[in-house]
Amino acid sequence: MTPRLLLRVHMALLLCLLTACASAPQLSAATPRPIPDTSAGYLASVKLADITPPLHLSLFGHGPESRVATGVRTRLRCEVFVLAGASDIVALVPCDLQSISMALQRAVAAKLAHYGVPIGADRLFLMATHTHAGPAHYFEARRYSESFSSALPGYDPTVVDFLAGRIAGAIVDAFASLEPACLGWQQRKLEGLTYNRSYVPFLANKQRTRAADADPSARASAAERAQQALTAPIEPNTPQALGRTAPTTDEGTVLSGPEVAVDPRLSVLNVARRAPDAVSCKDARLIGVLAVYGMHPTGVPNTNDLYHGDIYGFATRAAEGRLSLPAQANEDRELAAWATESALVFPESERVIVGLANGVEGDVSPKLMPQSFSAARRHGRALGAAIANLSRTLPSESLHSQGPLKHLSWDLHFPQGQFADDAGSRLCKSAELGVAAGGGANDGPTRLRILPEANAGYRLKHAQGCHGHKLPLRAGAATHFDFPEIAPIGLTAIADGLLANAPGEMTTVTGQRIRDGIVARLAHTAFAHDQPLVLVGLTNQYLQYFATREEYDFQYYEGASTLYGPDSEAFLTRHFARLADALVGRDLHTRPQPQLNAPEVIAMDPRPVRRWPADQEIDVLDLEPAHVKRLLRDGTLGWELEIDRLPLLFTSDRNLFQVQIIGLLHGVETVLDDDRGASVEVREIEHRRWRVRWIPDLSADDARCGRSFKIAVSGRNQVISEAFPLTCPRVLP
Amino acid sequence: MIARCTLLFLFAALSGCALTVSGAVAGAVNGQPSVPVLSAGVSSHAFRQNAPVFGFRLSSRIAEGLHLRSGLLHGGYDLRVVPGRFAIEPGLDLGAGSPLTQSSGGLSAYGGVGLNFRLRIYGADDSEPAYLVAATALELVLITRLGAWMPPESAHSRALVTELAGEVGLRFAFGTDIVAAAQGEIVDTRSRIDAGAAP
Repeated sequence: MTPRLLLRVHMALLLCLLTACASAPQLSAATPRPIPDTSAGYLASVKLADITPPLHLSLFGHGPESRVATGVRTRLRCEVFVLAGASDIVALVPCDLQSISMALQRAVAAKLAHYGVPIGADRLFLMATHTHAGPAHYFEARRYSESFSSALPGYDPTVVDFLAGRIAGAIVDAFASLEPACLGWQQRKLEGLTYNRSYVPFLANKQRTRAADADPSARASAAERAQQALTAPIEPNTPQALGRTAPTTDEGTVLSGPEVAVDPRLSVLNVARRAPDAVSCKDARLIGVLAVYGMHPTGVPNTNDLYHGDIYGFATRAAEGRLSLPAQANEDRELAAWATESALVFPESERVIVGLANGVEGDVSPKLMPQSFSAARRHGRALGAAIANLSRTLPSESLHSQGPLKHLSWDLHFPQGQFADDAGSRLCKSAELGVAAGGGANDGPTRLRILPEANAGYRLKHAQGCHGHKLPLRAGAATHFDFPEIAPIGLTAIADGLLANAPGEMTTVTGQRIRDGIVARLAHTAFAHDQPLVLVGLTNQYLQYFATREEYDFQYYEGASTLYGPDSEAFLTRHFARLADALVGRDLHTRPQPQLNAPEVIAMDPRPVRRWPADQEIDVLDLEPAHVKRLLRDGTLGWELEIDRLPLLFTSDRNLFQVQIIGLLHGVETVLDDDRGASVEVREIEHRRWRVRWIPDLSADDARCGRSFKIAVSGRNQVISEAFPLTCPRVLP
Repeated sequence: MIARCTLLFLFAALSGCALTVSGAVAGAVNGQPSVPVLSAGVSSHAFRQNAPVFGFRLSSRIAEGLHLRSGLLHGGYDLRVVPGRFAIEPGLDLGAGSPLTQSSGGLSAYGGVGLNFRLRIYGADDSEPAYLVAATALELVLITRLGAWMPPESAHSRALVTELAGEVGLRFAFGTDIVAAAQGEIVDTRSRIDAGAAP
């Protein structure tokens, strides 16, 4: 071979090699594992994901009134429910966040794909509890991440990656732990905890529902008339005198119109573990409860600067404690005292995990005033007790070891979406936030209310264009990255119930209309009319509010926050009805919307900033022995100690920092509570110190009174306090 | 706190302000050669409505450097012919200084009329209803004026010097609805609902 020919051969080989490299498959997602075999019945697993971030991120939920986080009151968490059955699999994940961004949802899905878990974006339902004390910085939409969105504006990919990593890790863990299970739904009305905060627009809704006794408008009107009758002079031998009464709670408390003008449904999905070869659910053991209730969980005012789950954070812990308490231990007063607020006193294998998703809550506020941690805690405990009681009314033999599990997820394009049969019936071309939203809702007003325009009900004198009476609030030039344009809805059949997920906050009547639309389409099908149909908002994306057309015209907070115009509710109702058609196998006319179960690729231009604190390494520090002080703060009794300030990142990793409450139980020294419960607060104070405070919720005859305890800080740094007595306040006779 | 309050005050105070920079040719009706001119001025304007405007301009002649020749006070009326897009502003000018086309040998007084044309080329459209926290606009302006300079007392000739100028430039305007006129109202709705009326 001549040198020239040799060179040509070498060049040819090099060319072939380069071509081969260029066409080699990119290694990204692992080959997905198959959905586990569900021929023998349901499989399920329930896990917890701690998503508490480092300090000094902004809180999200109160717009420019939000504060920067300087501590933790209850750790933020997600409860992961992975359910498999009928050859389908879904992950239902309530999370202590204000809302979900699609950036986060897609990031979780991408991580699951990387690990080969067969739960794609269409099977993944991240449902926010709507706490206003979670972190910001994970929204791709500019109006949720830039000026006026929070105290420290900015989208930080590190925050997205952190949250997605924790959530995906728990889903992977749950997927790997799937075991035979039984599932079943239960529902009841729970009234007296909430009221309708936008009652005037609510009253304007035209009744379109079929069942008058279920229609909130009709019930509210009846409540108003009854209340007026109660206060008006009564003529003898008239209908008023002969037993006409106002609606009441189970305890007999009379309810007012606004209190009745809500969707009072409390729903629970019991998840129980059954023996591998068992067909019946008789001996199945409860491992998790997914609850749904509609309420703004805003029991703490917007001056708060701590991470916490608010009312729902307290509720899940209270429900876990009650459900984890063994029946035979009911007489153990000390164990029962610990169990009123968390399940941490029980071995991990015996704990029931409770997740609480938010239902129809757009115009629904908690009935408590004034807002405070104590009030939120009481409210949460009441809700937690109701969840536990409802779960217990469903005996294990009523659960189902086999049955439907079918998911439908539909990414909807909102700009110019068609809301009626007429092709010209279109939503607005672009999203707008009304200026009345700048003043905040009635139970969370902002300082912008000094401007007349930022008050509820401020509207244009004459309807203009697609957005009608809304006066759009703008800061700077509008772009199509300002608000989300794509948002998914979901309809999932699980056992004997249906779960409908919406990407925002539905007002009471919007929820009712969606419900009626779905029920109408499922009439005369295998889905019985009395099957629980559970509506969950704030899932997988955040389009703020969905008010009805009648409510929208008032431009209260909810109407001003309905981004795509007055027909948004009609759009949602129509497409949920289409989903119901698809569920029972009817043709789904999707044009121009995309196909079902085919997640869209979203375009993002979030302009990242860095909010994640820089790593702060410190030498192993011997914390000085800490002296515990008993102090009353804001009317609440607690025991506290101070330590040197630790790196901000430490709150995001319990391996680095955790707080434990140690005492004797049945004569054995053990960890009785810790910072994952409802009773520990950590916050920065002045002079570069942290304060660790234990705030047990003590009843008048609490069995723990008089006992000795220690507070321990462990992780990278260790300190244990001296033993101190739990001296309870005296109760005056 | 003081910094925040100051910023808020400035924000509100600067609302309705515009900065104009223009350059052109100014000529004299009496046959003097035309001269190149550079002007800069600030003026007020009302956000979203036809309204009186007030302003101040400094004009400089470009001849072997920049020579400041006059300052004019302007008062006019802003007519939004195509709201949010095109406006005409007739007005009156009173000034002091020296004609652009020739030196007057002292401080002269000026009086004249002006007609300005403005075309928004970029920025917030204040014709569509919206609550704009910060509305900025960039406009192409054509400034025309015709007036006469009274010679200074020390001048021998008492003849008026007529001046005609046409200037083209850019105008940067800032406004905010925080201090602008209300675009809506809060409607008393409960009573209307009770009466069975629409909101």
